[in-house]
Amino acid sequence: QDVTLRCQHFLSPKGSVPRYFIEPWAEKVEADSGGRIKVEIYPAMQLGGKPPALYDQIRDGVIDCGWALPAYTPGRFPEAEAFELPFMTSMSAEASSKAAWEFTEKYMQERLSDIKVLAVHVHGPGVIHKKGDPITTPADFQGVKLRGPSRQANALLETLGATPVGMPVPAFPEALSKGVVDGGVIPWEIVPPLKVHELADSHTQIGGDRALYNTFFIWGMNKNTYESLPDDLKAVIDANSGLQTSADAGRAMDTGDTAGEETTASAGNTIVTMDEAAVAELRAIGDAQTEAWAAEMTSKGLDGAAMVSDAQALVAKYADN
Amino acid sequence: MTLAKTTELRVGRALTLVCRLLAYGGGVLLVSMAVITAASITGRALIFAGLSPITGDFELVEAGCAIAIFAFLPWCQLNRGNVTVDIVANALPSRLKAILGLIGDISVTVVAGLILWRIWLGFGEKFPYGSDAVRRFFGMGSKPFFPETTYELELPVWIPYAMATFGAAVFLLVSLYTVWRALNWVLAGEEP
Amino acid sequence: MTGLELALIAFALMLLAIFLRVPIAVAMFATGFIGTWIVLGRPSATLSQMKTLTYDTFSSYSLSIVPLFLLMGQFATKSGMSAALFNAASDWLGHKRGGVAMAAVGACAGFGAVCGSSLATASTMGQVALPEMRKRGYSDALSTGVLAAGGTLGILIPPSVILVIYAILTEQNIVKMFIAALVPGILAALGYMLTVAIYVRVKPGSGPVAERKPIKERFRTLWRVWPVVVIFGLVMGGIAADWNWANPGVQALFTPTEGAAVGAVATGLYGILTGGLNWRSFLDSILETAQASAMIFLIIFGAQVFNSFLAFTQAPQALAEWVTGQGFAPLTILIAMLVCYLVFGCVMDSLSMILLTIPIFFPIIEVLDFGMTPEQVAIWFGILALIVVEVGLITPPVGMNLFIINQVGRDIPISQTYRGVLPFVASDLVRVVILVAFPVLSIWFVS
Ligand code: NA
Ligand code: NA
Repeated sequence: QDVTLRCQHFLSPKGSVPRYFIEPWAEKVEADSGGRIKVEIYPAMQLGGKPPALYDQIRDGVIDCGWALPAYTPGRFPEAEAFELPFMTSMSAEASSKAAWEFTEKYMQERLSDIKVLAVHVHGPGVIHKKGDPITTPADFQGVKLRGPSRQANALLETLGATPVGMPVPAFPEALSKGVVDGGVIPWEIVPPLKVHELADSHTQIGGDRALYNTFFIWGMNKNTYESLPDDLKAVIDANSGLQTSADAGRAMDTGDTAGEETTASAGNTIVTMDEAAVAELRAIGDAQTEAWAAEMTSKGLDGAAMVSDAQALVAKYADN
Repeated sequence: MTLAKTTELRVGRALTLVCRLLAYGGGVLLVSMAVITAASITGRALIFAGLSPITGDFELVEAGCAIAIFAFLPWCQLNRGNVTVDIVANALPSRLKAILGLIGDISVTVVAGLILWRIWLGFGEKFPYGSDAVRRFFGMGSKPFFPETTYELELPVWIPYAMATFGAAVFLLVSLYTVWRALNWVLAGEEP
Repeated sequence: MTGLELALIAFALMLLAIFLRVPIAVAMFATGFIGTWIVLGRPSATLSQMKTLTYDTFSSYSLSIVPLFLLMGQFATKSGMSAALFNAASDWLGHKRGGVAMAAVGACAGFGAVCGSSLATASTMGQVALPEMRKRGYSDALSTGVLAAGGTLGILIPPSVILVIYAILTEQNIVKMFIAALVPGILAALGYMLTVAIYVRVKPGSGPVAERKPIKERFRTLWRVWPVVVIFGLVMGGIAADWNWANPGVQALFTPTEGAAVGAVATGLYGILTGGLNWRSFLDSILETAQASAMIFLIIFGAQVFNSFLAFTQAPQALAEWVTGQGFAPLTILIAMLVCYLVFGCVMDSLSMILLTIPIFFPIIEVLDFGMTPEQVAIWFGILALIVVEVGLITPPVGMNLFIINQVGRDIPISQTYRGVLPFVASDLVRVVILVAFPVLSIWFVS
């Protein structure tokens, strides 16, 4: 073969994104190039560095491609936070990832200009996993210690009377088993790998048509690596990036979510969905946060209001199709 | 025969003081981290009594740990605290052993130089200020669009980076001195 | 040159540098840096990583446990708590040959039940126990050897950082992994005590026998241990819900790092209140902590650069492919993997070994037929891997625990420590053989 792409991510190879997106992507690129591109995937940061450094590793050419989270370097990619706002994304990660791609093209061209963006995506809706009885009403949040998923979601939980405890996802199962937290908010897809269904008793899905929070992910490639490819191989990469690839990445999360929910259900745990009245109360708090975020963006010289309304419109556009 | 032994000793005394003070600073930081953590636990345990954990305790400990370790590096090198395996060296004549020690100190100095150079760049890439001309003059790398902050307190990350960079600079300075010192030990024929 | 060959040459050169008195951290860093340069044809990869790698490595929440426990150990020593503990151990067990060394193993095991890190256990127990053992006439080799080995109980006895990583990589239940590690962990502690007993009989000079103390005096020294009991109880009690997996109603107050912070504060306060810790000894404690922490973290940094180089060479993959390509029987493959760990363990640190190899080894092990359920195999293999990577911490020449203990007793030549630890390495190997032969010891609770 002509080119070897070394790609790195920080998950276990069994995670949803590595299994349902990164590996199929690599196989497709290898096949489309007639075997002239070889993709090596390094899980768990084997090539070195810490997860927050992934974006810079792609940019600096430490690796040829990688999976980066803007949320790990708060403040640096403010536009991406639009898709992490409460009740912004839809219940389908696939649809919302398409919206995220279109949003990125409009608002993040300059911000991400130092890498070749292959795809951007989000995950599925967050679910509250808890020991003991499920949370069904906003009042149930009172005094509950929850591993919070993001700053925006944590603020929301805190407003409801819960105590958000900050910790990395891998620390969650141990904290849950020891009672350092009573529960936590994570999507279904990471429930089986962390064995949360064996540690928690009840699982509350936030009802409605929008997700409590989300995380923005970038699947990107080093610019020089891309530029140095011959035109036909560049075309292979181009054909495996963009709107459709973003949708593929989002669908990987959806696939994982379905599996996670099935595993949990078959373990006999309680799964409930919060009713509309309760969700409406949560969304009112979320809307106030979204407004505050837009104002903060405006103070940074970005068009916060436009970003919010565009993101909402894009999510609606793809969610309703 | 030695190389400006008196000056070397004088510089050594001055650097000992600097390293000590820096290490004390790091130690005080470490103690504060412990106290903050203990206070946060107390707050968390007494939520029912209206107390609460300290916001951002996690990231304060992380940043504090990094700054403290950078503050500790010079003191460690000044005392030749970076572990070496002396099995072979102990069987050699004392001057040869001193030469190996000199090589060790030189190697630490090279690494210290690399660390300082790179963390300065890392600092530059977190530091959102300065005109392009100024930044180019100081070799500060690409300027970020927006400053990266910590997660909960939204503290700009360049601040702990700046403190770490200072520790790295003293580490290089001390390493350079230890090379001089080791050279004098070689010239004197043995390590004291 | 294949990646495997390059890795082997790099190993050899690194060992050469280490034996020529180049600091371990620098030897690992330089080999990794130059090796990556050769693999990629450019130095920029490591250089780019280094913009954030030092800071990110040092600003680790889970590693902050190391300086905090070091500080606690210093405070405990300066305020006389360690002396009280070992006076009691000596009065009660000193008349038995090797009694105090066995007590030290017990203390390490107790500490290991609280703390999930070998480095933290070795550094704390080293500071607390090493001066006391030497004071009582134990040989340098035995004192440092037993404490380096005892330090691995931090990982071998649950909770354990390595097991958490393993559980995540292989999608196992962390609580079950911890339960599985219990019996092997206790076996480890008993094995070390047995090793001490044999050691002092083979080399009677290494462990003295004190005269038997009258019972009244024994109780008097035992009474002085109460601050240790209180503070240990506080730290242990806070993290203790580890032991309440089966009864989740009991809540833990804090994580291990937080426990270290509480321990340091409580020991410091005790020292100040009793006057054992004055301004001068406080500053001394800081300097001691500074030196040991800087040394440990610089090695961790060097190890990261080295491990990243190994990943770039794909040597572990090549080795794994070779092992599986031989058409060996399942048990032979398992043993071959364990031997790989032992070999890599001579020069690598345990966490990196797990991260590098489990994604390669586990899928192979998973499909082999050992006559057990997949979950049982996963748990069993996890325990075995845990033990063999931990052996790496005490196998010469690169063994983090050896360096930590040697750092505490700075005047002891490392060769003494190397010599003293070998019997304990042997005890580890015997235990591995037992656990391979009797999987039930690891999986008794999952039928
Ligand atoms: Na432990
Ligand atoms: Na070793």
